[in-house]
Amino acid sequence: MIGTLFLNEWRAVLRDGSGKVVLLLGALLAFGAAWTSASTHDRQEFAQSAATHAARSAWDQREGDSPHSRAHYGDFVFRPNGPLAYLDSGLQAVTGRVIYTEAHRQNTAMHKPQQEAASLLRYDRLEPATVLQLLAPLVLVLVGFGVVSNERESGRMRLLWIQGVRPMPLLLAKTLALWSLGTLLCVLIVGAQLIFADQMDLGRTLTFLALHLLLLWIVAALVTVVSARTRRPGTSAAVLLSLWVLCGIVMPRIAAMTASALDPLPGRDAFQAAMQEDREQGLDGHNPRDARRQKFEKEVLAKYNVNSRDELPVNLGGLIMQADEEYGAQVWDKHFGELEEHLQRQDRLAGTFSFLNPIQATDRLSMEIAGTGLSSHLDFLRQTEDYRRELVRKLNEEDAYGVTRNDEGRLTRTTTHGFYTGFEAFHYEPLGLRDLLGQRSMELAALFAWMLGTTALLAFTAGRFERRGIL
Amino acid sequence: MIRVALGLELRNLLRSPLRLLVLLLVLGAGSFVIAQGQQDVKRWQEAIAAGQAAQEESLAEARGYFAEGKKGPADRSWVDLTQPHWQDYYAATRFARLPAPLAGIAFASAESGAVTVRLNRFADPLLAEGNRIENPALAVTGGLDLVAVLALLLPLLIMALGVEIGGYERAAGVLPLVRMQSGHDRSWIWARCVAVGVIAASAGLLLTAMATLLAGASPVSALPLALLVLAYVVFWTALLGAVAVLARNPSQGAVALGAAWILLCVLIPSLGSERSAALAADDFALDLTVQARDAGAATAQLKEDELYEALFARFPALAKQAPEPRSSGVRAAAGGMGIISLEKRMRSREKRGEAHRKLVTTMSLASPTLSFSHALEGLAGRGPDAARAFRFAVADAVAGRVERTIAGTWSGAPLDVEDFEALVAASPTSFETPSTAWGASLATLVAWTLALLGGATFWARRLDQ
Repeated sequence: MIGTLFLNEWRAVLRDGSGKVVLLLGALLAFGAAWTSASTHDRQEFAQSAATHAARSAWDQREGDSPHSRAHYGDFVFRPNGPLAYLDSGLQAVTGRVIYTEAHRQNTAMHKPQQEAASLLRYDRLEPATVLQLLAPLVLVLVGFGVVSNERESGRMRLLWIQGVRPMPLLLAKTLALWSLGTLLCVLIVGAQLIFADQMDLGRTLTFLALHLLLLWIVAALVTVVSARTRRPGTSAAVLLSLWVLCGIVMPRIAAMTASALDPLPGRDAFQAAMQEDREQGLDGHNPRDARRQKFEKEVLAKYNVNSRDELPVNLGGLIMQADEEYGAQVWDKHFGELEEHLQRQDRLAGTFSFLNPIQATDRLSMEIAGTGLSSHLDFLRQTEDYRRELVRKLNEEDAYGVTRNDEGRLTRTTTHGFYTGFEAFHYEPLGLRDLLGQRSMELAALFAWMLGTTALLAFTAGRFERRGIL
Repeated sequence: MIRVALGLELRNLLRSPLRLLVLLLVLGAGSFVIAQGQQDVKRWQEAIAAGQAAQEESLAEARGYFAEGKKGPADRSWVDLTQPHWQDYYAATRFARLPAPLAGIAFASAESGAVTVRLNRFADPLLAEGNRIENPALAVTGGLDLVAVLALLLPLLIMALGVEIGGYERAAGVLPLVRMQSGHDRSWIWARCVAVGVIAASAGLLLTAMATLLAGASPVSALPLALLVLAYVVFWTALLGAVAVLARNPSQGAVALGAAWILLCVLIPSLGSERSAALAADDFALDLTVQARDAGAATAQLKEDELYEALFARFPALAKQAPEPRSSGVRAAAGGMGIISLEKRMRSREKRGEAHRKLVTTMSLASPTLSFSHALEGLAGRGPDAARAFRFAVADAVAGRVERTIAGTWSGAPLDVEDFEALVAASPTSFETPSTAWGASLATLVAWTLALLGGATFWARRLDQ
């Protein structure tokens, strides 16, 4: 019976002129979004690769530097796209694209070119994730707001009742029909990616697909329940559109504002001043009269069993720079660790709204699956800092040990150009899907609670009509 | 008729808990974001104060050395405050971008330009960062400030209050009665829409007044905001009227208004956002990073004549002060190439920014919501235009420092405390955010309103025929 009712629903949608228009518009938007997003993504990948290559060429071609000069010359890390950024670009519009890695300093990610169109950044991009999280639910609302109430108003419901159709199979068939419509959009978008995108991470793509199918099931069930429980299609449309506006547009903003109002981040000046204060407790690599530096020098002289730095077989400057770096790394770990914890705390606070809003839960999970969420951003910053430390450590060690003392007792540098060209460029290894989803257990729990809740509501509504004998 | 309609709408509002709730939601959210905006402005002012405190500390240190007859700190023998470049270093004046009077209304703007910059001849306004540390996970939602409340929620209030107008009258058969009593059934529908508009405009203007009062802004600076809010409400009221005149029943009206809101407040801005991402796709700032870093090396390759020619083209006054032989001033002259290179980078960035600005202008024509929110960001001094103006002002100040340092180095005369104080006095301290043009946005809103009214009249006449 469910199969017959399901097919009937599809026939009704295809017979209805406005249903066809909505479906066609939905399909066009899905296809258009997939195309533009893939095209933007490809250009971005190409430009990122070209920028990385330019930075590497500059590094390789530079000549005549001492290792310490090279540490100040530094390197640039250009943020790669997430593995599924063509489906969901996540935070990439609001995070910097370049990090300058150099000695003594940990720089933040800079350059957000879309800020030049800041007024537009208030709104979501029209990309596949937006289509699936915002527009596909809207398509289901527009196609389905009268899915039960229209039938009741026209009297067809009574006819079905007389023919022996029970409420549960009827509501289930209508929900499945709506959901299959959403599934069609999902498959269309993922299918379009197969055409437009160069590469595809199958595991992530299937998880992305499953996530959005789950959301669309929740939406389809809600649409059917609201349509069944309201007397007029107009009321059903008003209620469902209000819910859509609330969940899709208003609530995510309220969640973000609540999190930043309840647990505000420190100002940049205060943060940098606190870090600077701690940093000044360490060695000052450029200040020879610094007391801590003199103590360190004595330790090195004792280690090599010599009386003066002129007798050392190594360059003391390089050792001091590295000791300073290691101290600076501790300061960075402390302050950025606290900041990272703060960012995640705010994010968790905003995430609790997922229990009120399934679209928000889906959005947060979708970004993580795509490798463009907060966890991936913080991981990218950590990997860049690891790269910077390794780069500076190698250069400092070469500065210290890449020397020989000649017959006149003067240090001569033995560093070759090959030493510099032997450095490996930064390579970002994205976090695994399991790790990312593990950090989003709250959103997963919220989404499953929504799925169970809406399905139970569907069964409850059907049961209520069964008891009362009317639809 | 409007007075009767207003009385009816007010009674409807008081009788309907749902309508009252929507109104309270808009006013409550508005009040809350106004308070948040004031907090943000306070943090901005604190950042400026912290910069000024650091500036005073640095100046006091230098003045102390002059008073004691020292050239610099005892443990840094190479510091010599009689030399221009060390005076430049210690005269660490802060150039502050002052918040515009209504800065709080757009605190969720994505623009995060610097609010204070430490001036010296190496300062790079393109790399200076804002005073806020952003949580990208929250920033990506678009944020909720007064701009968002007015742009997104005010139309929803109009829709909630007026969703049944026209459709209800037709479905309930009230219109023939109105026609018999007054002879103008459409006037009654329009009167009801205007009444709803008056209620929404009152809410919008109340929030505007609150924001103005709390910010301590002058009524003159608040006038454009009030005008824009009124124009925006008039546009949505016209849209409500157009739908009400044509809708056959309340559900048709609800779907039409919902679709219009989605189109104007979500879909068109999203299209713009997608296009903006496409424009930015290949911009990895090579000019600001790799090329800028290597520009210094290119300067070293310049011949003496080329170096001086480039320098004098930018700083003509220096031509009269050039040292003889010129080779003795090459090192100082090379120091001037940094700012020339920076200004070149800024001009090239301008070209890239122009494409984004054109996009915003075009999209603003297509969506009154976007036009309205863009104008409000400009009024608040939180848009890219304000950040860009500040960057150019910083670059000018840096150029002034460079010119002074080069001239001082070439003259070779040791500098004293008076030169130091003159340098401090010559450095700009604060930047007033320029007010951006809002007339185009107002014109866009008016044009949309007129088009809607014209269209509604045309379709209504056709239906009558």
